[in-house]
Amino acid sequence: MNDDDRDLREMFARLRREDHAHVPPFRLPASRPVSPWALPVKVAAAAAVILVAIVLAFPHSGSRRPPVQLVDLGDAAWHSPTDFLLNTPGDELLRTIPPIGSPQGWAPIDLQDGSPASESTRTRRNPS
Amino acid sequence: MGIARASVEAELERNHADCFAWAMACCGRDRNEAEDVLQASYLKVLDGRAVFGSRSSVKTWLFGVIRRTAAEHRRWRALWRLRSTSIAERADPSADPSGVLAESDSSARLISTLATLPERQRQVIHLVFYQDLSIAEAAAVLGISIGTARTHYERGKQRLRELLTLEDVR
Repeated sequence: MNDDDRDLREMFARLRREDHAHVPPFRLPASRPVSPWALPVKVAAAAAVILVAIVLAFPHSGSRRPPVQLVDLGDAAWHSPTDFLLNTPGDELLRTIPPIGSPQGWAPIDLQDGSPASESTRTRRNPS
Repeated sequence: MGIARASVEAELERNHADCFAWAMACCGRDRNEAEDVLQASYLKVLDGRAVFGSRSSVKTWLFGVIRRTAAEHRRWRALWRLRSTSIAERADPSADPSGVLAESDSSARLISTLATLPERQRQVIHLVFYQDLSIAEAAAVLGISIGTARTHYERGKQRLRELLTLEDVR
């Protein structure tokens, strides 16, 4: 501040004097002022405490499960009701291996000239 | 904090008038709101929620507590207004808080002119001219840099002068 501010300073000094005549007496706060949210917050806190107490008193009431039944998987066998559809006609042929040995009507083919090696082979190629 | 409760109470009482004037400035010269803010600030100081860090004078620190409490109070009031329309019914729109304390015409004129300044400028001007604080102390109260406080001070003072001169011309 400088001397140019004297007028402003005088105005503020006057305002200050007038204000000081109306200052409320000093008193210490007796208790914490109640904010507008105090009641809703208290209600919410009380509800939360009650909820926690209920949960602690009945720990399994909300999540009770049926008793677990143990099954021996070794004894268990289950078949689908449509299993029979998998049994196609002639499937036993697909599940068996023809015997290898000396079948009737079969003869080894001579790979050099492509001619049958025996009479029995010819018979098989031209049965008529 | 390092200050005994008895000495805290003594400091509060010693600075009470200045604190009330500052609370008035922070509350747009609404006397009822200023009293609420002041009580809430004293409570903060006494129950240890506001701690004096010895970085400034006690008065500067108290002013900072009052400024923050007034800002919180303003936010609560805004929220409360959103929740309830009864506040509007309780408020007396015909009451002019700016004229409650002022007795002289010059003071009333000064108050109404100050009210037209931006908040920061008004606060710096109040702290420097009314409370006789330095610009550095005003900056500490407002939590701003000294350079910023000086800018607000210069602009506020210039604007205040212009407006008061205009009033004189009228």
